[in-house]
Amino acid sequence: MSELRWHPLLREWVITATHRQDRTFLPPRDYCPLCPTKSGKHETEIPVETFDIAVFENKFPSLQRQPPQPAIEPMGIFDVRPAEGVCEVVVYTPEHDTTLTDQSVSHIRRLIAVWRDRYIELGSLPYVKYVFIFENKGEVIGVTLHHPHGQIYAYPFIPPLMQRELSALSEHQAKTGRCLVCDVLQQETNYGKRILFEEGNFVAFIPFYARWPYEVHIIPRRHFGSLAEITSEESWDLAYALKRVLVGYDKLFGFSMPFIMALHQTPTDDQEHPYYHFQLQFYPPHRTSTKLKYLAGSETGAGTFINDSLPEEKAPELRAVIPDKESIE
Amino acid sequence: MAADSQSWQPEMIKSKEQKKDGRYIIYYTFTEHTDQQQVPAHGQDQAVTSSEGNKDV
Repeated sequence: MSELRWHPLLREWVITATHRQDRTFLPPRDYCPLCPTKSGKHETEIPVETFDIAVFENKFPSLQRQPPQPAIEPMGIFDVRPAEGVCEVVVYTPEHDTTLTDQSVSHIRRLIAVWRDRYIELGSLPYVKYVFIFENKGEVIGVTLHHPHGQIYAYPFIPPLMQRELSALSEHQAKTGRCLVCDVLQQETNYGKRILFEEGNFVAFIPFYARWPYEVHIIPRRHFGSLAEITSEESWDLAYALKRVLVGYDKLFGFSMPFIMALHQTPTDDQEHPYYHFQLQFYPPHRTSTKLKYLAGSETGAGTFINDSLPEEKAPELRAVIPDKESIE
Repeated sequence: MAADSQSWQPEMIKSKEQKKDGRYIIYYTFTEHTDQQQVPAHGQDQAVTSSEGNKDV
């Protein structure tokens, strides 16, 4: 059972998805549902022996193309709606014991092509207002399957964080005639100390306003809102930038860094959002090699993040372990 | 969100199939062209080849 319940105090939707309690949880390696099906072995989610990149509908979706009717009727200020949308799983590679970091730059570019395709296709559905592409990596983030994969949620509404960004960008555009993210990028590059590297048309940095110690944003210099508008040259730049950040993360503490990776793109709600600017953001929970940042009282109870570090001090640490473009492949 | 004329159109084969339980699965296969790390000039990108196009899910 899944449904959307309106939170009247926060003015946002909460998705209830009770069937997800039954989803596969850290299965033994031989029973990984994201590995390709091998001859004579149990059938996995992917009924072929090999593939480049595969995408399928999530078996335990929070949002469904044909959702069930809600279990409860709307009552007064308590609004409820069917959880219409799409949830997909993006399997990066047939190889189980790898991560996105281990993939070649060429393969990461292939993944960008798949992300682009899913954004366009899912965004064309009339009930999809926002296509959110992300990866949860690491058990501390809550992943239940180790096979390298990401996810896509095609929401029937614009999620609240993106809505706040849209409002900020729209107001800044109306007030100044400029893009807010372009202005952030200008200030960050002028200041310089939080910049990790510049890779062609993309800049990677820990922003002035980082909420996580090693939060990294990868942003294009050219103003565009989604991967639908990326050029071939920029797709290479983004692939190299991703690879460099990923390798740097793993070198930082000497282990495969857990993180949430989130692509922020233009909504697909049939409205014009020319002021929006594509961003790829990483939120790793580690604040040291052995200590995690938790979303505790201030973050969860009040919505205010407390960052135990200065981005100006963390950026040089991360910059020191990020490889040059020439040393990766 | 529409792609403009300068946007990238990668060369890939997209094959959409239905699983036994009715869910779809899409296999993306890439040609050797995309393994070249040299940067193609704008406007010289290859077109998408897809067995399904932008078929709605």
